[in-house]
Amino acid sequence: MSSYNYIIKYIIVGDSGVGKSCLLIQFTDKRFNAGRELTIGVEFGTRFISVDDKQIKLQIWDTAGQESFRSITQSYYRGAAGALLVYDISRRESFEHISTWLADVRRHANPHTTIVLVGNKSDLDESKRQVTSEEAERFAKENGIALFLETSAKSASNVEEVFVKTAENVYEKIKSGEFTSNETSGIRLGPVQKSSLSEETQGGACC
Amino acid sequence: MSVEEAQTRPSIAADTPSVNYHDDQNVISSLVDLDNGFQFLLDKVKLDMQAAKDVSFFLKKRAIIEEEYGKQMTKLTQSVTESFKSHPRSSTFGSAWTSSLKVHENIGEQRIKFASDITEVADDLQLLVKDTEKARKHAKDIGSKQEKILTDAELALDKSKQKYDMQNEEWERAILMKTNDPYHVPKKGLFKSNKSQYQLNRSEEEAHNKAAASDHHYRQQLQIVNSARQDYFSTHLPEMLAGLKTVGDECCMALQYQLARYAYIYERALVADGYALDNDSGLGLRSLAEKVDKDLDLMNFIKSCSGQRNTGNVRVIQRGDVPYKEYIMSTAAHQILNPNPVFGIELSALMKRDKQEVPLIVQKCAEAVEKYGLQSMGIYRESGTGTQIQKLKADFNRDCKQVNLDSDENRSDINNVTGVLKLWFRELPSPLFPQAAYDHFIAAAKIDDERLRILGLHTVINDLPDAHYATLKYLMGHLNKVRQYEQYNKMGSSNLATIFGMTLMGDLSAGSLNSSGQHRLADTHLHVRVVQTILDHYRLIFEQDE
Repeated sequence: MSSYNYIIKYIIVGDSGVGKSCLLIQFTDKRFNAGRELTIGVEFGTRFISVDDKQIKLQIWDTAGQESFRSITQSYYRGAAGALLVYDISRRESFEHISTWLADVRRHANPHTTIVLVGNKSDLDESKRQVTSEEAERFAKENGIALFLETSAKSASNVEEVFVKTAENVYEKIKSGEFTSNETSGIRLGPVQKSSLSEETQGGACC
Repeated sequence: MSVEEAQTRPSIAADTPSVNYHDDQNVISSLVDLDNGFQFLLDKVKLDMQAAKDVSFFLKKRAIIEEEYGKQMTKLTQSVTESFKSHPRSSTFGSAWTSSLKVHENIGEQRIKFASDITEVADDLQLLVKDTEKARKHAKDIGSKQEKILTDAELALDKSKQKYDMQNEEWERAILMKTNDPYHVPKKGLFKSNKSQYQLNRSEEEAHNKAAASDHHYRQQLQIVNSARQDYFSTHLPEMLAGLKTVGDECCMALQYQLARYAYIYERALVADGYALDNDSGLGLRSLAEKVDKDLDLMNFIKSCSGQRNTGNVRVIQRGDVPYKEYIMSTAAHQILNPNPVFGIELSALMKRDKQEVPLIVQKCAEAVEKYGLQSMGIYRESGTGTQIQKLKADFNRDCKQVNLDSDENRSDINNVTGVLKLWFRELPSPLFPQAAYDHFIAAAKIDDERLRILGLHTVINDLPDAHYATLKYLMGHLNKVRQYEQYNKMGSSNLATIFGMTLMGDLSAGSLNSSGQHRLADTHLHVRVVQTILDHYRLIFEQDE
């Protein structure tokens, strides 16, 4: 059995057809299936990555809009360390809906969740582009979104980067102890125990 | 699910037979084709609901087990930690053990959190069951409504068909009656056809009209029922089935989602436990165990002990030899037990012992006489009180230094002091003029020529042992002072020599009258002459050398 140090939950949200599942498959399986049907239900992708010599298991949850199901909504967002908000750069409407998705993430997820804005389908001809990267960049900045990247699930451009950079950001938070509250975090951390234990040790040493 | 398996892609939707919109239509049309398909789907949804219920039940029970485990673990570690604190140990074991307990407490807390996570899943499933039940009931109601519409129409059709049959039967009879066909007219008992042909014709016409009307109505009802049936199978039933299927799909999907979520929560809990047991910060149980250093603990324990005072009732075995502790007696008792006698001791021994050339008793008595007795009539000739002299002797023998001759008691009669001094001289084992020199003194005393006699004595005196010489010189110096007060004390050198001649040259009273004793008695005047000559020429004899 391979060992890992952390297990981190990601969620992918965005309008139907922006390529959420394709991003996931490209990242986990390194393949692209253009003719894929609509996602029904929830899909889970898993991949191990290495950050700062630590093995991290990413568990990526992808839904087909069932976030609206009463019995699923809350738990879907809860415990997510990373949230990928995906839109299609050739469909302006999908970008405009991002603020709704962002509001949902902010409402249900952990306040420390690393939110990433992803403009997918960057492989398409520039003539089809309806959202400029400058505009998306600005949106990200204005809304306090840590990362923005344009990707192509088809050509695999930036796909690896999106997931790994998110993981790095999360790992930084782990190290800095930001993810201390185990209330909603998807990660169990050493630093919490470490601080309390080292105090204990020091206390013992000085008497 | 092992990690390896998890690495391949467990996609719920992809692993199940692919369900898409077209498949959806196929499922529905196959259900439409099936007799009682709606009821079947209702039953299926009920089963799905039951499955969600079962899972929810299981998870609830599981959560209780985990919570109990977590609580007991936390409680145990806390109580053990408390009791460990009450006998604190600053040792590597102590800190490792405290840390280990903390690890267990963390695991306990993690389990409690795990339990609440499971409970959430169970609660979400219960919510799902409730929602599904409601949606299923709604779909069922719609189905019943549609069925009722159909049934009502069919009932109406049956009625109109009955009416139609009846009317046609009436018309049929009327036709037969009209044509008066006795063979075909049904016999109706007593009923005799007494009606006119006109009447019969009219009846037939009426019956015909009625039959026509019922036929029309019947056809109408038939039309209604058939179109309702068509609507039901082509529109309502597929719609109802689609709606119900959505309910079932949602139930199944949510159930699957919750199972996957549970799997994730479970895995996460195990990872957390694993992390608590062994991690990079070296605070896992194994690394903590490795931190125990028994030798260092022993060293530190010993160090801490040496800093502590023994406060309890613990008997401490003293190290080193036990020193001899002498009992300190009262001075009086001590002096009785350890007298420092001055009487009856050889002058040389006394000098050696007391490190003084002139014995202290001689100095003390002489000083007292010079202080208090120079003008005392008959000093040295008068005798004091015997008991007082004996007491003084005892005092001197006990501790010569402590004798205070200035005390009122001793001052009251100076003759006691002169008495004890004379007694001391008499008790000397070897007289001041030693036995060995006796003959030389006598010989010198016999010399008539005073100058030669002085010279002779001087020679003999110079040959005396140191102790004898020093004491003699001191005593003569003292007596020389006494005789200078002759006009008061009437003690000139002759008188003093008479007294001291016997005392210093040989004790007659204690006299062991041996052969030499005999002639000593005869030599008495020579004794006096020795002392008197020395006294008279004190300076010449003792000071000319200086």
